[in-house]
Amino acid sequence: MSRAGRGSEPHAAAPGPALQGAAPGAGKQSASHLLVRAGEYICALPIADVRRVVRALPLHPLPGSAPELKGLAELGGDPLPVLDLALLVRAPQGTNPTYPVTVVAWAGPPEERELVGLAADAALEVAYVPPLPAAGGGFVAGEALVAGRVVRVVDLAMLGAPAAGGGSAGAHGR
Amino acid sequence: MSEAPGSGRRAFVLWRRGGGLWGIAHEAVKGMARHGPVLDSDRLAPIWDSDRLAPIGGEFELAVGEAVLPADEIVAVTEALQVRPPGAALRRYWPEAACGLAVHQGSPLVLIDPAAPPRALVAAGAESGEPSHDRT
Repeated sequence: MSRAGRGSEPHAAAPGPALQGAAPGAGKQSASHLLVRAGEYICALPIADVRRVVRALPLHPLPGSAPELKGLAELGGDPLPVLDLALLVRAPQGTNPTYPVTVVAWAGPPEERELVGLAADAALEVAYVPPLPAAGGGFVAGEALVAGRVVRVVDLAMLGAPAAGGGSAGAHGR
Repeated sequence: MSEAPGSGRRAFVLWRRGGGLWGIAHEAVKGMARHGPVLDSDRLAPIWDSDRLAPIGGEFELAVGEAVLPADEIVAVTEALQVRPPGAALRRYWPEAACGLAVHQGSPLVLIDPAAPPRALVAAGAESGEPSHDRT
C-alpha cells in the first residue's frame, strides 16, 4: 500500500530543516516509513524502527512528568513508557481521534535503544519517504512531501538524547 | 515467599497511590501505619513472608528513609517482579529518580529510589521519618 510522493516543490515556505519531495518514479521504491497522524501533523516513522502498532494502550500517568510523557503502559508483560507524539513534534492539536493508536518503536541512539510507545491519533499507511540530508539533530529530522502532503520525518534516535538546556525534546517550532 | 528476606531474592512492597502503582525494596521500608500505631519491620515479618498481601484498603503510610509516603492501598509484597532499568526516555521526561520499571498483574509500576522518593508521593509537610501515629 505504498504511495509515493509527486516530486513537487513545496507550495509554501514550511518551517524545518529540510523539505524533500520524492523523486519521480519513487512509487517503485519500497516503503520506508509508517505515516501516522499526530494532531494536525502527519509524521513519518522509520519502518525499521517500528515494532508494532496497537490500539491505544491504557495508560498510568506519572505525577510530575513532562507533558510529553503520557504515562506507563503494559505490553506483553513489560512496562512501556508512552510518549505523546503530537507534543514531541509540536503539532497543533487536532480533532479528537476516532481510532487512536500506540506505535511501539525502538528509540534512542543505537548503543542504548529502547522500546517506547508513541501515542498517535491514527496510523495511516506505509510509504516511501526520500532520504533527508543530515539535519540539526532535532527530533524532527526534516519534512518531506508524500503524495502531496507535508510529513514530518521523525528521528527516533534523538528521542532519548539529552535535550539542549535540559528541556524537552528538540523538535523545531510549529 | 519461599525465601527469607536477605537470602538472595529481593522482595518489593507495592502500593497504589494517585491511580498509579508504585514499588520499593522492602528493606527500605522502616515502618507502616494504618490509622494507628506504627508497625515496625519486625512486627511486619509475617506480612513479608506472605506471598501476596491482599489489598486491605484504607489509608496507609509507609516510612521510607526520612519521608512518609501515603498509600491508598497496599497491593502486594512480592519477589515476582522482573525489574527493568528505566530507559533514557523515562529519565528525560520524568524528573524523578527511579530504580526500575516492572509489571505486576498487568499493571506497570515504577520502583522508586528510597533515597529520593518522587515528590508527588511524599506526604505534604511530613518528612519526619516515621508515619503519623494514632490517627483516627
